[in-house]
Amino acid sequence: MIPTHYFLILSAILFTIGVVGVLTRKNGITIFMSIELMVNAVNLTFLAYARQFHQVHGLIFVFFIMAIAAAEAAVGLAIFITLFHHRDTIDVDEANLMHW
Amino acid sequence: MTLHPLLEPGWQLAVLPELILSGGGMLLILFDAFLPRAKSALAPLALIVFIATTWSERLFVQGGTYFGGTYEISPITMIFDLTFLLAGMLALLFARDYLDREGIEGGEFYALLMWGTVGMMMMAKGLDLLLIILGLEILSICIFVLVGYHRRMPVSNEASLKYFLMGAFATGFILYGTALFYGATESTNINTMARWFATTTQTTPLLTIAFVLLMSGFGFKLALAPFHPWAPDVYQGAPTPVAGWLSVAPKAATLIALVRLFNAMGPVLPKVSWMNMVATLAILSMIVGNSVAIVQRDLKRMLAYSGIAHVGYMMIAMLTVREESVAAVAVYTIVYALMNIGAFGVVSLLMKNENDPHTLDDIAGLGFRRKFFGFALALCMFSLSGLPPTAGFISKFFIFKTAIESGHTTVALIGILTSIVSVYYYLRVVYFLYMKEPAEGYEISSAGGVFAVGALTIAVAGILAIGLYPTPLFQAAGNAARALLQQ
Repeated sequence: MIPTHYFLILSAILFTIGVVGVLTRKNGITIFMSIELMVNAVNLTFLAYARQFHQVHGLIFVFFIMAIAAAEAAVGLAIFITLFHHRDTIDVDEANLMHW
Repeated sequence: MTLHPLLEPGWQLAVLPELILSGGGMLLILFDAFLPRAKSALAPLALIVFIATTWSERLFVQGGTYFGGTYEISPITMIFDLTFLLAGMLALLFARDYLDREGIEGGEFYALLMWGTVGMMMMAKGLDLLLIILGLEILSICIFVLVGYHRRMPVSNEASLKYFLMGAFATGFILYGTALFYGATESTNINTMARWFATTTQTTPLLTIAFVLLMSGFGFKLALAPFHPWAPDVYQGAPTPVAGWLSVAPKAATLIALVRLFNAMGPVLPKVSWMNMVATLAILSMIVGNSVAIVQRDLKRMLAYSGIAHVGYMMIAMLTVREESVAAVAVYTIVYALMNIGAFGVVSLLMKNENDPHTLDDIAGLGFRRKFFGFALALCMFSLSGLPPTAGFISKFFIFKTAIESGHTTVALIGILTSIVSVYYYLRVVYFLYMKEPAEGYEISSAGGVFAVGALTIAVAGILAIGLYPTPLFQAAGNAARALLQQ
């Protein structure tokens, strides 16, 4: 059996890639994909622990996280479409109407 | 009929308020779809649903834990439920006039307000991190849509984009923190976690990482500095009644969830420096919020920075979770709901192109043109700055008192000093209201029907009543907090 900490290291790497993607990318959809990567890294962590503890808890958590991510994606894409209507771009650097 | 073991008898009544709100929201959408001409009936119907929920909360809901120990109803959750319902009702009343004026009224607006309230109730009652996160997400998704509700306005759309990306990013952190806590404690149930924390002798770096991740995620949702930069932009762009609601209700829900979490971690907290991190966040929020608010000319941005400072004050009381501090936070959120939604409400009544900022010049002389609106805004400002005899004074006083009694003298002192600074920018609003004439040919009129006046009356009466006679509220909150912490 593959030891749990292999999964944990992999998920930590995936999470970090996601965070870096959110911070460096300009395209709204790419940023959102990076967030999805973070969330999937979390799913992997839950699954690894659930396997180690022989519990259903973690598995159920993963189902709910997937549902949450799907709902977020639906709303997020609607927001991007409206932004595209206004600006003809989804580059988040162009969203700069408000300054302090 | 045998019930599933997770469904205790009486669970229907336990979730009755949530059921009424969710069902009412769906019916409102259908009502708007089938009777598009009867838009003026939407707000009264939504108000009836909110009042029915408040009633069911008082009449039918029994204390106890439900759904296999994941859903707790206790006096403190009732107090927070009432705060959420109050915030929802005030936002609804202000929104009615605003939406009507902008020509964007629709059943889905009120429905989203209700579903967001359901999410907050789940956060307050959840005894399992899964429920807390689920409630937080229900709330967040409703907020994403509500912030962008004025979809013809580019600023509203931009605000919703910013809140969406920031919110989803923060959720990722909260989820990862939860996953690591699950790995350490083998459970996501708060009571089980508390038992684990009570028996553990040492903490691992993994737990510290989990705590930092969780706190940064919740810090985003609370708009604590240094996680605050989204707040001014989102409040400026969002429809003003939504901004008022958004600046109060989600923060209250996140705070009660944090109270539960900190309480569960109680035995470990003295051994680690986690609370020092939280204290740093509180100090930064108070300093950044109050100092940047001084230079703001836009009222909504000013209120956003003032909100950052107010969360800082509330976090001071959270540094040591005791009876008095939980009671102080509970009262503070109620008072904050009244005064902040009231202030945003008056701003929402200014008749102006919503794409432009609402600056101080817009309210110049408003106190003479619209006496009641001017008076209400001035009272909200006095209360926000913490001047007696308003409710803001007494609630802030208790926050600082509990902090000093718990031994956080330095943090409390910084709080008191920064809140003295804050008097300057709050009273500047009053100065513009009463001592400044509008520029030639630049007079912003304000309109508000019976709904807005009613909401302002509630806010004014609440601020004065709690300010002059705070004892019953503090007693109720104190008893509720005792019941929460004794478990």
